Amino acid sequence: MGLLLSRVLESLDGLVRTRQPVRILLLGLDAAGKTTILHRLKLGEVVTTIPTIGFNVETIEYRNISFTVWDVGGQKILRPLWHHYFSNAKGLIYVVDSLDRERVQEAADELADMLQHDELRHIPVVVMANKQDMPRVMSPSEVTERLGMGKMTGRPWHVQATSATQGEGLYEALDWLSREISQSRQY
Amino acid sequence: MQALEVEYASYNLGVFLCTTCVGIHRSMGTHISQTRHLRVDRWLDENQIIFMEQHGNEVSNAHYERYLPDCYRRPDGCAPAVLLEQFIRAKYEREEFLEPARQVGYMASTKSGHLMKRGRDAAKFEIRRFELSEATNTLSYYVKEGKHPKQTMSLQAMNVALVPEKVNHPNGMQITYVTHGTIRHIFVYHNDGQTTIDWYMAIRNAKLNYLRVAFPGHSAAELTADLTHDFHLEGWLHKIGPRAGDQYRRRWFTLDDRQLMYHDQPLDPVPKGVISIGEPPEWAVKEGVPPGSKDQGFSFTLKTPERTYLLSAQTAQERTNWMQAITEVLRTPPTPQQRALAGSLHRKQSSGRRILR
Repeated sequence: MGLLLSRVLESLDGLVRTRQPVRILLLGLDAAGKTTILHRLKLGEVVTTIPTIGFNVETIEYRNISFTVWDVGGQKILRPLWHHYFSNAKGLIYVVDSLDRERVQEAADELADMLQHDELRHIPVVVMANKQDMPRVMSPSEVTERLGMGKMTGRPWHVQATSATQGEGLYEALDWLSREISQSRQY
Repeated sequence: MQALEVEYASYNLGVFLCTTCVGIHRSMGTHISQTRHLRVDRWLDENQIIFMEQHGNEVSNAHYERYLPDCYRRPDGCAPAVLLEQFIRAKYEREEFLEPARQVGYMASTKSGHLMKRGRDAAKFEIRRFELSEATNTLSYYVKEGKHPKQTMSLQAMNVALVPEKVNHPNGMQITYVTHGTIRHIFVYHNDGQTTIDWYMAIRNAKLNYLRVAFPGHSAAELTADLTHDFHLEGWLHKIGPRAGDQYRRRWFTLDDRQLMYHDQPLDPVPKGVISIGEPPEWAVKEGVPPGSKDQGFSFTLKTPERTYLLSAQTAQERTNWMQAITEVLRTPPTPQQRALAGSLHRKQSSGRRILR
């Protein structure tokens, strides 16, 4: 843990000095767990959320970085609005409900569509295979496969097993994302 | 743009949902409930539309609440969050109302288990074993195993209210009971929402079974009307003593059914006093204080046959709330049981914890 921490801090040196808020998108189909993740990261508590019609935005201070996390409603009719939030985004957290086998293809399609956008061209993508605390869920490797992550080129990506209600995997995903963002800043 | 009060549906359960309930449905997972907004989402699958047409809440509830026990408090949208969530989980996730055998958590004639209980003097919650018995119509709790119960409480005039804010725990409950003309409160919770609500329903069930024996001719609806009740209103008011020279003092008031109780602190085990609210014209509530009396803040007067109480709220809105709540109670005549309880209570309860020791 200590080793990991110091490594992260080192790699974040560039960011630490600038202290610019880093804009992060938190997207995914409706009921994937985006708002629960946001609350968990912000307040450390589990709240029962209602569907987000519109968006939630929170600033999360982590490892001395200020993330501005945009959680945008995932209902089908809202998805065409996602691109309004794309500009200047430094990273994407894509949340997948690992329980929802019926809609994992839909989740894959939305992700593929979104990543066509110019504004998201090189940004790192971390997929949260969420709800891992539930019974008989898809494993992270199954989610990786179903989303077709293997075919993704031109950007760093990572799939992280998470459980927003148990608070597991969330900070690991943020760690990965902050490493990638800080590395890309050096170019 | 924030979440609006809009309508949703669960297309595998065939029910229409409000914003609060859809949140709980989503938290159970898509293997239990698949939800969708009625307008914001697209309904492309015709089979789902047909399914919704054929079901709807009435038809679906007839199935999922087939064996809903009489004692179960079926919450409305304004009910305390823990009750609402546990009802929905009981109904769809655990399917308790499809199979009476799944209701052992609250339908058995005895129940034993642990709850966190707030100490009477030390403001600390400690784990205590509780035992509910229909045979003796009591709830007891134990400090030490194998010893006599620390306290045995009669279920007859017992109330359980869900009071999350007061206890500062989402599953906080206040149990109020009467012993020798004195009202006592204990405060409990369990970290598990299901266990908490199981106890709540178990007490209701035991009370109901007692009433069934006592009033054989009455319908379930009549008997369940008052098994437990949430408080009409609680909050700080100032109250002045009856003697000349007395000052207004801050008290925590609770309007519990027809009893207006006041305490030094919200979590006191015994009220300082209790005013049983009867009927007009002997009982009346009026804005302001009588001429010549000391006035303070947003005052109002509660007249009773024994004494006239001068009370004062912090804001005009609070005064209105209190006067409305008391007027509401005055408007309905007391039942024989409420009269009997009022008659058995001492007006002056205790001047603190001294008497208990």
